[in-house]
Amino acid sequence: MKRFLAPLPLGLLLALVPAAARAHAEHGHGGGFVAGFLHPISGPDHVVAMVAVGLWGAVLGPPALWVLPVAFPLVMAFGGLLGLLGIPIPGVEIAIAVSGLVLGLMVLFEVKAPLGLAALLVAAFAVFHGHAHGSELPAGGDALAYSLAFVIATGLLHLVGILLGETRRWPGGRRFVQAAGALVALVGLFFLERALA
Amino acid sequence: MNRLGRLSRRGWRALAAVAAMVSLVAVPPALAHALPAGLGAVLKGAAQLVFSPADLLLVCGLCALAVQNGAEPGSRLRLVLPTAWLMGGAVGLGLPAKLATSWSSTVAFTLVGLLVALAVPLGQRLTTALAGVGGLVCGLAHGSALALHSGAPPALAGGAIAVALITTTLTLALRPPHPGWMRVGLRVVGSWIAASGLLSLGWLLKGPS
Repeated sequence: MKRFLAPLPLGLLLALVPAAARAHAEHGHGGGFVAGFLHPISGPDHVVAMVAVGLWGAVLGPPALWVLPVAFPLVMAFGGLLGLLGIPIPGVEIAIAVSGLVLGLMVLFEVKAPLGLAALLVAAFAVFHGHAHGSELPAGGDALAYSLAFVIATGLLHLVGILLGETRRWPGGRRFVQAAGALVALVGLFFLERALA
Repeated sequence: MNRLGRLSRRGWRALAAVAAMVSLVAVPPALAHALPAGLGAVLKGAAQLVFSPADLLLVCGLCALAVQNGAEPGSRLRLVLPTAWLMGGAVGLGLPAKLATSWSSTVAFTLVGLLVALAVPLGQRLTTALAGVGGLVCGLAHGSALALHSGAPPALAGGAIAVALITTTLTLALRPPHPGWMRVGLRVVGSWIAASGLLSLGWLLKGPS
């Protein structure tokens, strides 16, 4: 009996991974929800900055904890709009790298900036991140599904940062968050060096 | 039945394994485009709403806006939005051509998302009026699209029923008073709706390339 059932888990597993039909080849198209979801998490310079926004929000505490993740997608989308329309902003790559460096340092040194200043800083960085994404977005496809997934992925990266930041309540958590900030700053520094090279 | 009841544990396992194998083998064809769903006109109308993300976002955004403004706007929304949808749709059925709605629906859900993200206190009347206008415009667009097909009136009714179901479910699930995390969650969702709307507007402005 066991021998009879043995292939069942493998069969069920294989049933979950069928080859995609690819009825519509996605060459040159937005590609819909999945492509939009993967876009923000495919660049480490973006990922660390998004996570750092959540981390810094957790360090600052309420209301910054939720103001920053609410403000960031809105301003980032505005930057994305500029990028989509081809309106140039100088020094985008440098600003993205600087965002990682600065936000990482804010987390590392637990800088308690006033809410307005923190929101302004994060919003300014969000414009550059959005512009970079907007310039890279492929044309066509399901634009709304792509955009929605893109924003959700960004929001979830903030959430990861907030959850990591909430470990500050535990013993050793504060040091862990500071180490995460240092890591973010190092990644930012790496990309800054590359952008300036 | 008695014979089935007397099956041993091994027998049940064998039966389950065979059923699992049969279900794997007997998958229906993919039918990527044909959609011969056999749903009937009413469910087809409901499906049209569910697969129109812009309208769905508007409905969800209006629900969030209503519950942010209190329990009473939420209750009114449950009545006003489906009714306005149905009325707009009835007018739309009489239109000679399908209305182009990409711009209007995108601007509408972006603005509603922005209002939710900023938690603007609109009051009962304005919230209800917004829901009425949104329902009328979306219904008009759906009605004009359905007018070209057979079984349009039941499909329109299906769409309105779907709106009523979604509105009822969301406004009851999110009924105030809200704990702090839910107030924040609503604003975050509003910012996501508005942000995706802004990006969609960028796509629309850019046009097909």
